Amino acid sequence: MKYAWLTAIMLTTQIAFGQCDPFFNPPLSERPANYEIDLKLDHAAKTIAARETLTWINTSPDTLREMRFYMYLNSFKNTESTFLKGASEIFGQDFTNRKADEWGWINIDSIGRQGGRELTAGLRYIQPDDGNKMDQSVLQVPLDQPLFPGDTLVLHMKFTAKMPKIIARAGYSKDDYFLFVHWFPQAGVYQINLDGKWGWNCHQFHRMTEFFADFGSYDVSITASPHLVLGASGCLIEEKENADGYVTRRYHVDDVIDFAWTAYPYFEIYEDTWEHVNIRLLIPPEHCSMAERYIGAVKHSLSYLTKHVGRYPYPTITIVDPPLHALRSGLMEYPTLITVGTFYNMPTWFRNSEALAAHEFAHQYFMAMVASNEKEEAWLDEGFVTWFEDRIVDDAYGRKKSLVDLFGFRYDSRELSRLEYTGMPNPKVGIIARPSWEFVEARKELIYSKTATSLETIRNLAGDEVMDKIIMTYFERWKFRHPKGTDFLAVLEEVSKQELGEVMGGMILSIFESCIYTTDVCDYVVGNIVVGKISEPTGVFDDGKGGLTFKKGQVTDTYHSEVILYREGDMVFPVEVEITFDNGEKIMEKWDGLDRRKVFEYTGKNRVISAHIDPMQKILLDLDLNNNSLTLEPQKSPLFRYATRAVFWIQNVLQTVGFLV
Amino acid sequence: MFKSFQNGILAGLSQWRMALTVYLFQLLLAITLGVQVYHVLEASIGNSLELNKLLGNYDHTVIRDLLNVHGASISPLLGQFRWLALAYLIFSVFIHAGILHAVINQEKNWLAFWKGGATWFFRFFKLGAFYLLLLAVISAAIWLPFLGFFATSPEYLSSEKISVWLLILMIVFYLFLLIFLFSWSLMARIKIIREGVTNWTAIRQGLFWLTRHCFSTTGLVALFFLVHVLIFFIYWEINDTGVVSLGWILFFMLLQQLVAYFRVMVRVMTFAGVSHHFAPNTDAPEP
Repeated sequence: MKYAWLTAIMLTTQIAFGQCDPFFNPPLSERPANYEIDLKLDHAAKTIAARETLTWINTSPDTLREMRFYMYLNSFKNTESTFLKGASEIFGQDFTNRKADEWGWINIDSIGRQGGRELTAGLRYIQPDDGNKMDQSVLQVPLDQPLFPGDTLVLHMKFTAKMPKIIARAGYSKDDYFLFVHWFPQAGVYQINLDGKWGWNCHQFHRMTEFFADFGSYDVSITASPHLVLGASGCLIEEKENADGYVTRRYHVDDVIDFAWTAYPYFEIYEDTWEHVNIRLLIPPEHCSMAERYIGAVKHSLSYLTKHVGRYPYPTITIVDPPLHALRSGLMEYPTLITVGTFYNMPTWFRNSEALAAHEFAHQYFMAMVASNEKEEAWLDEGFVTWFEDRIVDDAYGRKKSLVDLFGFRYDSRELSRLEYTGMPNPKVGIIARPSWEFVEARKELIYSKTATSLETIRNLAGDEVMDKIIMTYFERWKFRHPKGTDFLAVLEEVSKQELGEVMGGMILSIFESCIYTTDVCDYVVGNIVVGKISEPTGVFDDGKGGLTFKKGQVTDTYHSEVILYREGDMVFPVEVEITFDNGEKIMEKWDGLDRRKVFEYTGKNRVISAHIDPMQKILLDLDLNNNSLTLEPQKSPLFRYATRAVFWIQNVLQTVGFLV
Repeated sequence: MFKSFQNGILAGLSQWRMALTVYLFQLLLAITLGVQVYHVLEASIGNSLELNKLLGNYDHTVIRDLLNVHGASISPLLGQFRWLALAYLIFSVFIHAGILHAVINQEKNWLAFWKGGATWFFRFFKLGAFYLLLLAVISAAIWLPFLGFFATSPEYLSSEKISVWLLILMIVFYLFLLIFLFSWSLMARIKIIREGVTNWTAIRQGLFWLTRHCFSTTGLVALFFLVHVLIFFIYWEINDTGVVSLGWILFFMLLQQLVAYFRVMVRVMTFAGVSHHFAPNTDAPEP
């Protein structure tokens, strides 16, 4: 009863959300994995007790005798799970001194096949990746009868889950804050794998990996204390108060690969719309100054991605901004629900929160709709999303200043992505295209930043229109499916060859392949410019009469200039070279970039004064853009400016250090 | 307080030659590093066309590529700078002794500055060491527990709002402490020059003075501190505009040097103002 007034407020706000229609007819995907879950949250014990009905269609040509389930929460059960084993901290968080109630787990209490036998006794945890018998993140369910191609399997189960104190986004924090992600037994994917054969793709949960699941419909009824404000994937379609005072809210979402939800008593709700999309922001009171900025970023993302990728079909997007004590649950993507993160009174000159919102929203396209395997080929989502984050943020807030703009110190998102890659101590540390669990270092720099910089380089070479066509074709062809890296390469090859011709299209494909599948780096250098006046021939010459004659040639007014270029990296790009002469004339040369050294020579009345490889800076993968140009008539003013500034700041520091003596 | 502020400004202005001497010394030291910065930049990217991007505004890509590739050439300069700052810290003892000697005795010739510096250097050196040690102890006592609290506060506070406001309060409080320490050390030095008392007596009597007239004295020092802030504010406002020609660069160089000179001048003004605030041989502020 004490929460009655709160219930009334929440009902009012959530009824307004009732405009949301989540049902897609016809379906957008094959919907092989469909879930009906009915759960009750015990917020004091941090547990949920649930009934789950899985309706699963065998879309393969194989007859199946088992099912496999992800049991992600068991990764947080003890230090022997594959996720935690050998680590002392996760994302900077020490977990070794956790108390008993801070660990998490999930258990299927009973499972049975509709119209068939009870299957509980046959349940067995398996470890397909590393054989770690203590890991319980993958569950094998032997079937009582074979499941033939095209057949539908209906499994009824009861499960209990205990949420951990937040770890890797999932769990609880103070004041009854919860983020329920990867919280239920979820079917693995039976598909054609990278080896070309049909099989289960249901990897264990590794520290560096994310997720991979099949499309389907989710119908989730959540019964929880009325003091909790809820947010979830999809639309709220039904709400009722129970006799015990608890409230049951039913959410539905079609054609997604996962379902996430959150609960917190102090969330404030902001709502807005963009075309057909309800935008719903759940934010703690201390962060409310960010509400407009978050919603603005998501609206701009919707607009930008609709224009450059394709339509966002879902009727809703929920943005969850966790309180600071639960920040470790932030900055993640789930279908139609994203989590962001900020700090009290985040200054307007620092737009990291907006960039994160754009990043997580872009995952609705690359992860949620184009559902590539985040575990095996993370570049297909994180790389693409970082690239779009850069584009969205720079488009919304301006080039060269979109991320930080304070007292003349400024930079944008695209610069940051490039510099994260080019600033690596060793950019050749490994290739991008490998499973995430193989990354021991530089995962972000390679998967996120190098991929984004590679895509931007390809965009610069192919042109905006062609790149849009490549991405739109890829999206249209692979949305609501599970593409692999080779599928994107096929689209890239097809469209670029069709739009740019065989040679240029082939070149673009080859460049992108070397970015993703090799450790080659790119560095073009203007090595030197050598200029001299031509002299007439000098020396002893035959005089034609059997004798010799000496001639001393005069120095002419004609110059001979040599521009010496080097390719210091292994990556081969055809490049443009802008040559400038002393009369102001500029010519643009083309170099196929194949040889390690290239010399352009000029003879004439004017001498070369500068050379600039790739003057438009299309090739952002170049490790050092400063050595791409060389001039014989350098401007001293910038040097002077920075030196005088250095002098000024040294003076100021000296003046300050001795203030007390 | 305002009379002392006014008097400090006038006395400071009248000591412009001394301020110029200190400024030129600072400039000379800074130029030794500045010239090296110039040469390192010239050797690293002096012939690159990318350098032109630095003429208008800051360019993150140019600077970061420079640091990525030529960081090894730049880091020795930072090492040199640290040693230079340490050397200047020691020399500041001499400079401040010279300034105080001149303003207390109202002498406006260079000889008074050099004489004061030489006379009081060793005593002020020990005094300075005491106050630096005190600063280190106080800073550690304040910031270590607070930062410990700040880092773990999300564990037991529902919102970071409280922590942020506490941090702001702590910064304000710490600034006040710095002003207090500065005033105290200044008073002790004034006491030594005026009355020739021992360091320990000067420290005790300086604290006694200050606790009795805490707000007027720290207020006076805070006013001079605000002048520093104002100078910087004006500089930032002007500096944020793009500079694209050599003429503008020269203009801004002059502006920077003017700011540097004024900061020295404000230091002299502060010394003169505080000295005026306490009439000689009395324990009370001037009426």
